[in-house]
Amino acid sequence: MKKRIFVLAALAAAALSAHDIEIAVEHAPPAVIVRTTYAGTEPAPYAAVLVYAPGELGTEYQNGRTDKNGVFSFVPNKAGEWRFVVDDDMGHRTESPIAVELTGSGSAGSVAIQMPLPLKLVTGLSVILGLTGFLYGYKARQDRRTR
Amino acid sequence: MHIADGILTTELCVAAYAVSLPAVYILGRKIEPEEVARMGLLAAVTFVVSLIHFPLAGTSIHLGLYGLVGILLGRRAFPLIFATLLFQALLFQHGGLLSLGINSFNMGAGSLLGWAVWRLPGLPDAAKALGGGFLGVMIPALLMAAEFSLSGYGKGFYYVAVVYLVAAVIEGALTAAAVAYFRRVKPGIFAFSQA
Repeated sequence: MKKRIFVLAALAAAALSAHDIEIAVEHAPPAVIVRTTYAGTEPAPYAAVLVYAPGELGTEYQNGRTDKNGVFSFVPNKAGEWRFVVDDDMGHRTESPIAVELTGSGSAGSVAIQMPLPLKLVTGLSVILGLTGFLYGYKARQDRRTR
Repeated sequence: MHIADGILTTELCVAAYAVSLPAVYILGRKIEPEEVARMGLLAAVTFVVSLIHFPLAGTSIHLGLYGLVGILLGRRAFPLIFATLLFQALLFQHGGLLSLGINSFNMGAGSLLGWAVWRLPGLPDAAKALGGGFLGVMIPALLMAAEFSLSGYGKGFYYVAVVYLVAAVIEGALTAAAVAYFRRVKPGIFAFSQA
């Protein structure tokens, strides 16, 4: 069972209907500007946003919606890891930390979210084709041994 | 159509895992090397296709080729979809591990139904491919809408399913074109899905 799961997992790759909302963070002290997109291409307009201050789990620091161009901004009042939640009410939702320094600069907490499309394409294809080749060889060798 | 973690109820996600994991095991048994190669190539094709997005009715959609995957892979489509969704969740943070079971269930059901349509006797290839490609999108969309409804989001998600009608028609046409092409240049490619 484990072996099969491994084989299947390694074959993984088709982005079958997968597109969460991705975010790109821009620091413009004292504000933080967040641009939301579907898979880095089309903006996510009028999506619901919740922003939580570091250590805050209950009441959000700010709420609202992205604008027509999928942009949302807020002004943090302290340094730390802020939590940004965006949901377009149509099944696409992303939750990401945003690191904020005292000066107002910082970076998005998730590298994968900022992965540009060409890099995503190359990474995905490399993993798929590389693992497919490896597993094909493995299965073929296994077959030869059993004969 | 790709549901992220934290949206549906945990009970629903766990129930979907209870269906998806045994399905992955049963439908993924005894994979041959030739099937590995085919699954990898189809994974690569669908991965590239899925990166091409187009805006529609206030949201963004893309093709998934679920019906074509079902027609070309047969029962192996379900484990392939599970594996690809796992890959996406781990590498690109698309979807999530909690919703992996339910996403696999939705999309896998679309692929398997596409395969079932393909195996219907007495119909021309073009009609079966068109129907398979169409249902490959509409079944996951309707399942997703039903799951959102069950999770207390109301019936608004059925509107989203209607939006996917456009994608379903496009996928149906593309699937029919792909099947006609393969039938001409490599008819043996359908041997797996006929088994």
